[in-house]
Amino acid sequence: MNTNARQYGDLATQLITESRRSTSTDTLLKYNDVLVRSIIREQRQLETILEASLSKVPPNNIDPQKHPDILLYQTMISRNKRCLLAYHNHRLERLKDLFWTVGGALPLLLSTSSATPGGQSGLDIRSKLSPHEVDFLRSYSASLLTFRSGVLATEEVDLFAPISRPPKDLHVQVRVIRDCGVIQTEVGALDFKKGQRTLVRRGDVEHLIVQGYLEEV
Amino acid sequence: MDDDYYSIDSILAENQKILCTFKVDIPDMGHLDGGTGHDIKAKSKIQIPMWMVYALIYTDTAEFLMPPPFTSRVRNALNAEARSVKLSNLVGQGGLWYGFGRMVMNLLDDSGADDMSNMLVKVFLLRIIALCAVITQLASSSTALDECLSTYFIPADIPS
Repeated sequence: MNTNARQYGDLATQLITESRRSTSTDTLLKYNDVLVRSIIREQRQLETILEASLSKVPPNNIDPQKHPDILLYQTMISRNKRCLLAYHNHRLERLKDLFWTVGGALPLLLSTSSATPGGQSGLDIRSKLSPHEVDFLRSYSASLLTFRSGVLATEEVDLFAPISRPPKDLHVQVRVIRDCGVIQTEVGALDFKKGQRTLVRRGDVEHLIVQGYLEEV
Repeated sequence: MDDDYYSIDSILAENQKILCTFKVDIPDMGHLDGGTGHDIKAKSKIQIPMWMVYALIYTDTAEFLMPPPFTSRVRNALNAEARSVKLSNLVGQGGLWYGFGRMVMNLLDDSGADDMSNMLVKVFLLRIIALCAVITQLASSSTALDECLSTYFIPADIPS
């Protein structure tokens, strides 16, 4: 059993199996910084070996049949690159899906607070992301906001409204899970206290339902 | 299983290994097999993952043998009765027979590729008819899945 990872491409396969596991269990795993760094180190080693082989060869007229190792190293490097890109792309897709399920409430996604009493557990996503992914979420949200306030404001289409179930009724019965204080609605100010049940217009409270402050009954 | 660059499934599928015969010597590459050898000699057989095989075939530094799921033994069994062959056992764990066949097809030349594709299509068509019968039986009555499958897909061992 070889102890040093002499099998090029093994680390990359590990990374991709992590992606596969993440899809099958439908969770976002922690960003595997260690593995990513070791793959990049492997890439650098391959690159130095490749340059060493290239220097032994006359600059033009490289006959592939005489120097197959150059081609092989090149293939390995592309393979590692592909695996790295696929891993990151896969994670970003999952992050974008998560973003839309919370209706674009970025602070909720990035908060590190834990479970709320009697309600859904908090989304402790932040500890699983790398700093670049947090930056990605911020800029994604910022671009969407500029789009929404700029172009879409004229169209009266609300991108952030949930579309999974079409609303059956103008009003909706809600129960308050967490205190959200006084909310301004179209008919005036409504005070939501924990445990209360009220009949309110859907448009006013939709964003609160998505964020988890209210629960539909 | 698309051939998308970013597709996780196709990356994992390309990790399948195929037996190859090398035509030339390659110094310092013996570790491809997991061993600690220094050189690969011409005419030595090594198991290579698919993504490396593409490069080797196109530069003509190696030849590959038809992998076990598609040997003539299996093809004869499929010709005899397509529904009796256990396709999932032929490929390694998590492998897909049809997907693997498609990838091998890319490596073959025209006539071989034609044969391969005809075989794949024929097998698929024969099995899908039986599969539809299983589905309708499952939907209409309350027999278990295993029972329905066993009436239509009668597995037989491939004679060696």
